[in-house]
Amino acid sequence: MKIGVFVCKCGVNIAGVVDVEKIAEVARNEGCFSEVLDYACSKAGQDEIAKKIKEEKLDAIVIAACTPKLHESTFRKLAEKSGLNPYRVVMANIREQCTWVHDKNKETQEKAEELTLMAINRVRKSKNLKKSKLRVKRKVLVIGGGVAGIETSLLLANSGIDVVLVEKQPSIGGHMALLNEIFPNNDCSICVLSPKMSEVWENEKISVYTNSEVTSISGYAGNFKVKIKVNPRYVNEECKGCIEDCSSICPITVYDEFLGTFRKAIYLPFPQSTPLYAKIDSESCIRCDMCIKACEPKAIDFSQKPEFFELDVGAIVIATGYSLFNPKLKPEFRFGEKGVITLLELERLLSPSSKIKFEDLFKNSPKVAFIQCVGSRDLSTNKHCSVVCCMASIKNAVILKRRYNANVTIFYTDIRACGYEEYYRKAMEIGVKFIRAKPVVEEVKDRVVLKYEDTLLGRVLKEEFDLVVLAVGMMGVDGEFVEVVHPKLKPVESLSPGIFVAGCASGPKDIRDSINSAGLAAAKVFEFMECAELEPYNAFVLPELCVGCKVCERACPSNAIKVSDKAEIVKEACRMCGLCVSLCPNNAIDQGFYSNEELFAEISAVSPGKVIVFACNYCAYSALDLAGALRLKYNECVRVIRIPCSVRVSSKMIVEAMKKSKGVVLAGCRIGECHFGVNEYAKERLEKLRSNLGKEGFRLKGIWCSANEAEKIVKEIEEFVKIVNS
Amino acid sequence: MIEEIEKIADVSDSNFIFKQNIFWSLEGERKKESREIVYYSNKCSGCRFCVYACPVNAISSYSEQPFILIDHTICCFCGICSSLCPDRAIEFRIDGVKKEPFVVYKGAEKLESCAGCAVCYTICPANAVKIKPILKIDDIHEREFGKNGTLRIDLEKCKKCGRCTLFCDALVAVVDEGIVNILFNEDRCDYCGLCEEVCPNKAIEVVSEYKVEKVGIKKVVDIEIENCIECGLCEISCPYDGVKVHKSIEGEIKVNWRRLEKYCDWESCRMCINICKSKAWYVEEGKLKLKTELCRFCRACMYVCPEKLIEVKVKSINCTPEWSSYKLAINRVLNEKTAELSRSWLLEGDE
Repeated sequence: MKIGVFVCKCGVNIAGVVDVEKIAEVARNEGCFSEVLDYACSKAGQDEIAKKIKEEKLDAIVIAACTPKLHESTFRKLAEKSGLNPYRVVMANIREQCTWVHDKNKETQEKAEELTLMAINRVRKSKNLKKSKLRVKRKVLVIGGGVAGIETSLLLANSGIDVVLVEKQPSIGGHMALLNEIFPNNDCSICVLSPKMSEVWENEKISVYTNSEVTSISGYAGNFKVKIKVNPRYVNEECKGCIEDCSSICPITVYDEFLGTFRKAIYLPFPQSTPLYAKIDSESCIRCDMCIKACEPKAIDFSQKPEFFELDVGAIVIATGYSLFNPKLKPEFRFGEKGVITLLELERLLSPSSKIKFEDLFKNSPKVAFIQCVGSRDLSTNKHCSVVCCMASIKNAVILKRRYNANVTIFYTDIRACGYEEYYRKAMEIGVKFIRAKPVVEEVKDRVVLKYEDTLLGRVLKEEFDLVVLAVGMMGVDGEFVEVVHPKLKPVESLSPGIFVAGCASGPKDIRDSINSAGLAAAKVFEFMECAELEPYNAFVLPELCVGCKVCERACPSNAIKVSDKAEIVKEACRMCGLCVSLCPNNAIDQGFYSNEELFAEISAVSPGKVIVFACNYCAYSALDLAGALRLKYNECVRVIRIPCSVRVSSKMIVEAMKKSKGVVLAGCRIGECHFGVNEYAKERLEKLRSNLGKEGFRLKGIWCSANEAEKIVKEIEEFVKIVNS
Repeated sequence: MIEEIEKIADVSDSNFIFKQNIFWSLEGERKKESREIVYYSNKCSGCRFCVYACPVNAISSYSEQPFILIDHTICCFCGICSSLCPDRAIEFRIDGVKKEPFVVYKGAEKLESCAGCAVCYTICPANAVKIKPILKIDDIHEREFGKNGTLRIDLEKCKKCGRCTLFCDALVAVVDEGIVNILFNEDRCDYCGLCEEVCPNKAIEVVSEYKVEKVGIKKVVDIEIENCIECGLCEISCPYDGVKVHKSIEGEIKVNWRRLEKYCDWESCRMCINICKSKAWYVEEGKLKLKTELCRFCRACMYVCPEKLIEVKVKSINCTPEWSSYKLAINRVLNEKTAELSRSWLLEGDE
């Protein structure tokens, strides 16, 4: 087998710290063809590699350059074009995990050489693998009927794909349907949205389920099984949407947090609700049953029960949007007391469909303060910026100024009017005051007293206002936003194949960006339906070794394994975590690209006295790459081996690594946040091993961190290195 | 379409009746629905369950009778108060028909072993036991006074149930917190011997010059338990283990006895003793005492104690309504929270 090794200088990124020629030399001593390139990823670099693959008749290549997360796919494509199997490419990460994190010295040079050697050893054992075509059901589940869900559904339906749209609220429309006017051109929010809402309702390709929830998702990309629960409305389809007769007699008024205003127990969320059926909220309805008599079409039906049904879909789009930060968690703003409201509540007061009018509450050019970043950009609550609140406040300030001649002050941290700078300028011109401060509510009497430090003037001041509006931040529906594969390059792909994310579900966005991401999600779904392929990393059974013990069947988190006589693995369902591979007592299961042979070969190239870190591809490996980007230094003795998930590493593999090294670290996602939901198992295995190893147990450590916890993983590795060296 | 809603209050004494009449037109016809809420102050124990259950906060509470007052202008005539009332002190009717409550206070249950004595009848603090029919001697036998004979009560057998005293006035009960003795009044006896048949435990023996033919008096009589407040006194007192009380309210009562010793002036206050329907509070040897087994965790004593020496927690009310707002109402009762409308100041702008 002839192996080609290409060492990238990456300008001074690599060549400035280590001697690249020497690395090439080491590879040559191993019997490989080797060459140094200025930028391996550039056109010139790629052309050179392609040329050499042909000229030298290479069977496999090693690229010693940056992290595989960045360019593995680039070089795989290049290999394929040059007639090489794309899985015969292995990258040695000598930038993020070597030259960026170590100083220029002998140990660093040694490490770069050894990382290359490990890659050479690994590539020797590599096999020809092939992606497989996935058969995808041409039906999509869109979860969430806000503006993003609506846009995605329409785009997909118009492309001829069946869509099932599931919305939790009684009407589609989401938060956008509740807004008054929207920036930048101040058109009426519901006026631009409601035509789309009716289009969705009337589209034959879209089945809309409002008042419904997705209770479970099983199966695999291309063939998901979803369970949907339709909650009772207690109003049947005879309802004409007149709402006046039933709601006027309903004795119960409640404050609806989602709507940001009051409603009766029987209600339509807003006049343009789609579908136009009232709903009875069983939490507030007291069953006085007066509406039954008041409803002429006899639409009220308290005998309704929740309904459940199952669906098969090929792909899923999560468009669940956001929830608002609860301002009560910041007691300094005294939310709940008179005169303190949220931005959503203000939107509702200003909305033409609201029964409570702003002008009735606040007369004669009131004094209004906006406090920005309540529950955003705040270390004690949410660190992220909620993106829309600056512009939403400025827009409302302009409306208040124009409609009610209000005296408006915006207290900001930084104004982030990206893309709408002229709107911000206009607001200043018409007299909206901007003060850089984060006030606290000091007193609530007839008026609200704010105390603040103007950080530009450096003075502490007090001022009275009639109304204080809290620009509360956006949060994920269950507190966290949905994680995507890459925030810039793959912003709508979730970590599970076949599941995409649109709109605010993956992070705060304004309406324009939500529409953008919804469009991209639809395009990605379409692409997935047309040409989805499976990476060949799946686990497979070696039938001659399998004894049918069923250990794998019980452990598989995706229910992909069935054992009758021998184990059989459904390739499409396998999510490629490698748990079964590590568990099989007879080594009868192996995995593509992360095979036992390849990983043991990689371990065998590590020289004695080092620390081996098995890092899961999702979190720990990314965290270590991030440490590189942040130039967080750590000891040169660390050798990182990439694995698909922490459960992939078998006890045997750990023991083997411990024989070769001073210490072994198993690094994976935070416990409970594993992408396959199994890393508790890895932790348990590690702890058992530690206790079985007795005195030697201290040489084994687990680190559980998220992809952005670079500082944490570096700190823990450093501590561990100190312990094993002492 | 609703045309008119009329609300009428009739507060004659401490009981009151509220009415709501709704008039609406349906397909051109004028229709009417009337709802009534009736409050019986003598049944009310002052537990305030209704105050917390009320979804519109229309009920206010007081430390003396009437313990509650409903603002009929706010009241929405939903009947939740009636449903949750453990004393059945509030009745709710729609068009004259009583609405079945969603909380069923099961109360006392008569068991097979009931001997038909009248202990429960005499002691029940809520007058919840009705014996039907109460057979009196005069209904079946005309007494001819002046006959000779003897009547002996076997005091070892007599369980002081008082059944005989209800039957015939020749037998008189001595009562001191329950019957302590049965006395015999010779002047009212003609030694007919029918009381022998009435006694559930054959404790009476009559020897007489003549005997009236036995009429076959049913010893086990039908006990109807209405208005039961689930105090459990009958279960404790029944000599025949003939009754089981299902306590629907579970809870805990804590008394700060040390502070009580110091601050409680029960002789002049007596608030807890007077308000407790199940007579769990009593005085013995000049001291205020509590029979926890009788407490039904209604919290009435906690509310009225001027020194706040009593703490009662209601842990659960045994019922599982399907309707969510009923569950919430029960939770409010458990946590002593009234239904409050959040953000209500914003409603000032509702024209």
